[in-house]
Amino acid sequence: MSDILELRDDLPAFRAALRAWLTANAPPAAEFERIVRADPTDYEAFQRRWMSALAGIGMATPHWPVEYGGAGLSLRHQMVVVDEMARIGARSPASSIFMIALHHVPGTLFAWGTPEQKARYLPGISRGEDVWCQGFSEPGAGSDLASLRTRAERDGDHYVVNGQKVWSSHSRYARYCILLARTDPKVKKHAGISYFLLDMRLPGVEVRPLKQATGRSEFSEIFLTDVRIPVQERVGEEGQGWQVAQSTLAAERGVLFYENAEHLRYRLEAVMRDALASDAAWLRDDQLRREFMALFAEQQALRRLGHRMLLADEATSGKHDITPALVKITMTELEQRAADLFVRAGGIDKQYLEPDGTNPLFDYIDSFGGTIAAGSNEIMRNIIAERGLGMPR
Amino acid sequence: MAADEDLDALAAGIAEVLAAECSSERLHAFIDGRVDLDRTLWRQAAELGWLGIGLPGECGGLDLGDAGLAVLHRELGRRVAPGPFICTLAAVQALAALEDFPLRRALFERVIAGQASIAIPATVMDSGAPALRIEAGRLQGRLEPLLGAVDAAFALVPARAGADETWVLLEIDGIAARIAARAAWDPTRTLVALDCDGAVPAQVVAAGDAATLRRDLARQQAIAVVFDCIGAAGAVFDLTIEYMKTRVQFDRPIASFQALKHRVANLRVRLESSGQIATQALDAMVANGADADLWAALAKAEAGDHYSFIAGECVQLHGGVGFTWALDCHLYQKRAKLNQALVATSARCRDLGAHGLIEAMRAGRSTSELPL
Repeated sequence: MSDILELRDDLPAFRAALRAWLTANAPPAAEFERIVRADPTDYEAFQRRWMSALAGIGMATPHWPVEYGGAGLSLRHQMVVVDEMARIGARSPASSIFMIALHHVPGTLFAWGTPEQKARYLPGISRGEDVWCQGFSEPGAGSDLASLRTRAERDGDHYVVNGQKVWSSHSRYARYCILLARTDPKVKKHAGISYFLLDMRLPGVEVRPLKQATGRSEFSEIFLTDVRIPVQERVGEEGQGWQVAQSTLAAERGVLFYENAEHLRYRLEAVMRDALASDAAWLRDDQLRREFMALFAEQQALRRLGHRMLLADEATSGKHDITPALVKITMTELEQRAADLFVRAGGIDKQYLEPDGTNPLFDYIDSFGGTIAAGSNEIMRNIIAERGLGMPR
Repeated sequence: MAADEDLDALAAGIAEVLAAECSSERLHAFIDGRVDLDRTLWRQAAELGWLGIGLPGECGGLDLGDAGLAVLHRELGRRVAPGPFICTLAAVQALAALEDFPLRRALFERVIAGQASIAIPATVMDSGAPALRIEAGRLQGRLEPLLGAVDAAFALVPARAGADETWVLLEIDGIAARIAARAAWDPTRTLVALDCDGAVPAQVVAAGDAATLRRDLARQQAIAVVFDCIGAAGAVFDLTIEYMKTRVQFDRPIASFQALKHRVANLRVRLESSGQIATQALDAMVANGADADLWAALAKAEAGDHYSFIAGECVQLHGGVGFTWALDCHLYQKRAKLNQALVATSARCRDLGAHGLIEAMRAGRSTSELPL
């Protein structure tokens, strides 16, 4: 165990040691800003270096239970980690190419994986090596995920998989994929789905990056042609995939959104500090300044909600209501409004593809990824209305 | 400081009383001039100790502090309860923080017993030159609007003394100090004008304390209005959802229409945000830290704007009946519009917030730390 983790019983000391390590070892904030717009090779190399630096002090998977190679840190500790990174403008590996590996894969395998699956796949993640992607959405199955049509047909001790996946983030870097495919087209749509762990190096797997509105290619299409997946790579029983996928999707919320909220806090503070230092015109514009203050108040409200969600989570082990949906909507829309405000406040100078200083137009265009992905905000609204408020379907 | 469970029990107790005493039927009887619900509620509030809820024990209060006050205002807001609660309780809270003064004990006794309410300026955070002036110890001039009852026993108001601003506590004698009501759109509260014609203040706040008093009164008024907004917005939201589940059109409850579900979900998001920012402001006030004013001002702007938006949407989501006098929607909507204007406009509140944030940044301090 590293020096930092040894201080876990003393939260302030843990925080201080982590802060010292980050100050000495984390790439500068400007690097994290720049790298999201860099070319894929540089981007991947940067993220892998950062991940292995953290793995070196036992902080690749600090939130995992000890038995799976984690440090078993409480949510409170994870929040401290997030806060300390956000404070210096660093992003956690979970917000980059390692997101699926760090949250979705363990969220699924801890609950559903066989001992062999856990032993085979989890160590590669806690060593900071394996990138995973998610093969859920399809061209015809977005919000209505259960209508997916990728077929997996049993052939002896293998499944033969054919189909197409889309919006798969970071799959061009991925070693493995968590995959949903239809094993029984005759039963009701939710009942005919199975869940697989796919080796991206198998023959018949082809990844084609999709160019996004930002010009970057964060996600890809995955084409699957007669891919032979061994039966032992199925998670849960045949036909149980929808249930298993609920564990995966539950892992998307929580700490990840909290990290975004903390970044928004420091970004708003930095924007205000810069505006003061440069005597920015928008600060003297009544409308823009007041808009900023409304955002400033709402981000604090969001952070409090995030705190409540995570700390309540700690107390009740994950049984919460519509709070994740509220957080998701609030978070992504605040990011969008903030970016939009900074674009307008920046005027014509921020219309360059690579403007001096910050690049709010990139953030603005990119922010629609947030409001659309991970369950579109419209799906979140359905959840709030139906599950939270009991409005009939 | 009361524990959360105690505050929950307090809220439940207040809610139970108000459900019986301040029902929709009685509210409508009140706004139609058939019962004096404002006075009845005031008497009951006195009997139950609500009028001293935030005052320390040495003043005869229940000592539940700002958190207890917030609970009371939230529950009063839920029922759009009439009565001079916000102004009176904000005034005694601010006065209790002052050094001892001759009238202090008697004043608190009378307020707690329900015998005296206090009018205060409607927009304490909106600083302008005071309209009243004090010359040779006597007050002259007209100040409006005040938030208060037409039968207020006292007014706590700013006055110009030479070049300085001071604050005075004034007994309303009906001769040298007179209060007149002018009908406002919100039928659950009254806005009044104060005319002074040589009135002698019962108490002039010491020169050094005037700024502190204004600040305390502004914070108290802001937090009270914020929690009134939280309660009222939550209540009008709840009754709208219930209505939508029972109103059938095209052979299905209108609550099943996705276009309406999404609007309602957006309101739920705003409610959540309001509630969180209100707690932020309350925590900052309880801690009495450097950022209490910043968060009070920002919370006032947010809660006021959100409540106003929610109340408007709730009228619309009710359809035709939402636009009628017989339903409660318009009461919530009118209260929302008054709340939005009280304390200071949202624009002014955000400017005060910006001022506070800039000050904090220049001092190298963050206003946003949350304890873990």
